[in-house]
Amino acid sequence: MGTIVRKGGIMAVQGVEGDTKIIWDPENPDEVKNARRTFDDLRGKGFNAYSVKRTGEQGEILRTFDPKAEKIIMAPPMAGG
Amino acid sequence: MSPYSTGSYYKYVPITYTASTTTGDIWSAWSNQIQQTTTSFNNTAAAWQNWINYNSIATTSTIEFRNNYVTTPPPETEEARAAHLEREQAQLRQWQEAEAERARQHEEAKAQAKKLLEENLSTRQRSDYRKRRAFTVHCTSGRRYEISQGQAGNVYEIDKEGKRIHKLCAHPRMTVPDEDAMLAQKLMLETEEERFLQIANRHW
Repeated sequence: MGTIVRKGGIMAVQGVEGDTKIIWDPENPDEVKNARRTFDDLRGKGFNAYSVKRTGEQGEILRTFDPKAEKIIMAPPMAGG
Repeated sequence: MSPYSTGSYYKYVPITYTASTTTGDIWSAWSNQIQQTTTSFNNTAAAWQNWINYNSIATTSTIEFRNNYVTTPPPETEEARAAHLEREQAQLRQWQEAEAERARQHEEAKAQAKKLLEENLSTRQRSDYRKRRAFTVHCTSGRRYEISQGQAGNVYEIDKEGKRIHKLCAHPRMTVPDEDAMLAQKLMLETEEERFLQIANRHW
């Protein structure tokens, strides 16, 4: 049996109950549209978006949704304490 | 004798009071009567209606508060006491179950956040985190930070020897598990160190 490797991106949205995952296939317009809408909604609420690799390498900040991103983490807005 | 010791459901307590010149005095007298006289418990609606009837015409009136009843609770039977106890125990069980469910959800969220954090740490960071619940972030500025377990006041700027030189506090505005906060701090430090420093309060 071979390993099934899923093609597409995954977005982890941090929240009080742990993260919620949203997945999309970059070739599926509906899934991309849905993921982009979530991304934009959260950015509007002040969430910070980071594109990261599945291997845990250093991430980069995302200002706009990238459907080709491998993995996106949406982190809540920060405040000084 | 206290009206509550009678054991009856209702007790008639007539009150007669002669009010003086003004509406204010009538009302005040009625209030005082209630507060000061142990037997002066009133059927409020009847007393109120009586006051309304008299206050507009009276300069000096005699107001008789009628239909004043004292309500006393019936003595609790063994059956009623048992039912009462059962209700209390059911409420306690319900509360305990809700608390257990909340604790389960909390643990589940924490495990999920820990998994997400570990997936996004380098091999070295993951190893450090598992050993001592803290890991180091190297920024392009050359500065280094230690993120320890927690979500507020858990970030330290460290020197080359790993000694803590400043304590910083910047955390997610919403409630998230510690591990999610630590990941958010790491990602911001790696990608927007200056912004993190602008947001964070420096405690020392």
